[in-house]
Amino acid sequence: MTELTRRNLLGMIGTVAGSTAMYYAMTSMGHAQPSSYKGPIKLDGDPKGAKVLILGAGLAGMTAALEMRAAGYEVEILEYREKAGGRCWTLRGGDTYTELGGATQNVDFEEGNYINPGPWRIPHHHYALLDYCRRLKVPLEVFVQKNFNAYVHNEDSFDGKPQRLRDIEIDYRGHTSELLAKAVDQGKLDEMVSEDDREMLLESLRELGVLNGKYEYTKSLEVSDYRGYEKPPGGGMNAAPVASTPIDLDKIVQSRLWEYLSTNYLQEHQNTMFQPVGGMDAIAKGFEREVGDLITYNAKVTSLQQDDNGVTVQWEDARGGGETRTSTADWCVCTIPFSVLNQIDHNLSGGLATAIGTMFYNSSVKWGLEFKRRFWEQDENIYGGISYTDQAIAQISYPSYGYQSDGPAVLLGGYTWRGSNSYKFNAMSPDERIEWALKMGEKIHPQYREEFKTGVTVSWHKVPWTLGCSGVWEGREGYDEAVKIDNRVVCAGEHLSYLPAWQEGAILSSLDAISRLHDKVING
Amino acid sequence: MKSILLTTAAALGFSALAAQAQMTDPEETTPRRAETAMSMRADRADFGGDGYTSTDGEVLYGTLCAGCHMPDGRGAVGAGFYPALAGNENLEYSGYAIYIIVNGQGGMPSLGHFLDDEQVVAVTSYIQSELGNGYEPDATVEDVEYSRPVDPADQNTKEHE
Repeated sequence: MTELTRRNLLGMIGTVAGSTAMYYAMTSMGHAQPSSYKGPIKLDGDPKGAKVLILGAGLAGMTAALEMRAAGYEVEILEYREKAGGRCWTLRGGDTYTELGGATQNVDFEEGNYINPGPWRIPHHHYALLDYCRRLKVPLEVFVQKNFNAYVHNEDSFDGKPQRLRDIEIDYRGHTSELLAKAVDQGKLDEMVSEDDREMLLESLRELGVLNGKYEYTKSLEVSDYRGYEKPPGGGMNAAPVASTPIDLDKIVQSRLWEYLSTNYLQEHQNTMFQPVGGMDAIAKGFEREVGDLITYNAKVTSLQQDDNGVTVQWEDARGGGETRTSTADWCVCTIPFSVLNQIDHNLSGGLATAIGTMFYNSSVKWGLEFKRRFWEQDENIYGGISYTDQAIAQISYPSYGYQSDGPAVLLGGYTWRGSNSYKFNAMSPDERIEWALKMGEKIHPQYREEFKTGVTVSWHKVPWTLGCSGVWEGREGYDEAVKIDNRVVCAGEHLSYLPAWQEGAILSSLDAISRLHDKVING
Repeated sequence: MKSILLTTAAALGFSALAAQAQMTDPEETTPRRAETAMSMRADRADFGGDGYTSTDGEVLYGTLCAGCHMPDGRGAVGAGFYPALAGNENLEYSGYAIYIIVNGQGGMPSLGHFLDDEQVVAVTSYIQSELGNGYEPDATVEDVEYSRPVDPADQNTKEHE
């Protein structure tokens, strides 16, 4: 062991210099993944009263407004909607939403219930967003992503009966550990596993797979500690637990329910995840408290022109009527989605103009369904988390708040991402979409029809102010050009990040854009 | 049996019958939600991994294009807009529509990977001749083949799901 391996080096650094030095060493060696967020932005230097016009009061726009005003800029924001936040949006009882085509939904949820049609969960490593939540005093609570007691469901598997995630995941792990352990034990993997590693690998498989002395994953009380019991342990008389029987490997493999296991392991789905208390728009409101005085609402931008002297934007009242108004500034941060900006008369140029003209926006559909009682908790012991299904609704997410309360509660009745199912739902009326969500959801929860109270559905291709859910890069060709400052205008938003459709992407994009813009203002 | 009756009633648009059937159950203090009467197209929507299977131009339009361009083809206006296909002179010849359906344009995703050549012809012919356009359909599968990109992008990426 004279060779200086990376691990040896790290051990030496850790011993000699302490853990902080080791962390930095690991970071520089690409081992620990740092966020690109470097803490609150510092825009040093006097912009000498320069004015910046910000288009869009979503998270990217309001981040830019907050930081640039603090740096000494005169700031004006134009926003198409009647409120701030953009896709950081929450629907509650009393809200009205009219989608493109004119269908209006009056949300009839009980007080305190809500649905987030856009972003709905915050990964623990979205440092920029979490830092703004802290600075803006937005209270957070835990969002339950993985729930072993939630279901995985395929219509053609297990006679259509939903299976607990626990059973599928623990049994899958047990059976595959058994196969691997037997192969190692029988010497079938000797070419790949060194003699040194062999015993320890077997030991680890026995432990993680809960295998017996013969490397078998089989019915036992020990296995039941993981997959649950036939009869759970109790107190007093007749309290002894009875072991449950694992599901056979071939049944699990053939069911394809394993397809739903990996999503919970994505870094962006790993514990801890958060949600703002009371709805995602608490973040929008937090920003609005800071910069709301700068925002002109109901302003529909119709033209964005720049020349060597400044930026000129024409806009009109989004509610119709009234004359065209003009706003001017020295600089502009444009956070309008490209799906919309592409249809605005602009003289942006180069790679930015190309990206604006060619970026398509994906479809995504969500449902908020309110039921008269929390049957998923009361009947099925599911507290938060997500059930996954092969039905077109794709998933059902149970509320991560208000546990065990009486009265109606709202769950996420479906969330489709890209693909033909999204288009099919998009082509339906809201009532039809909700009917389908009930038809599909009742295959998992037979209580659906009995307990249904009211619902609302948002299909993002029908959202008037975005015409889609998020910008899509097919490959990243042209990205580096699109994020550049084009003379006096820089664009920002989730669509100009490597975190598409995440609020973190919108904020990181904005912080990067205004850093470069500020540098240009100060240093030319 | 009851659910079959209700489904049939809803499919036929007899929502009143469905509601009546609901109220015959004496156990319930509040009536169950009747299945919503749906348009024929929505009721027959076939979901699943196969995507779009119909070869009928009207069905394809109604279950795909109508979402944005609207069932009557009048389009929609918000912060941006979806162009009207009704009374649209660009549809006199099929080439323009075929190219955009297959490849997308601006914020509109390409749909070529959802639809085979015959389906693109069917939906193009529908929007040329219907929606108040009245043009003679002239799309061919060869036109569609010609419009397809050499190296189509995979639209079914799983990012963010």
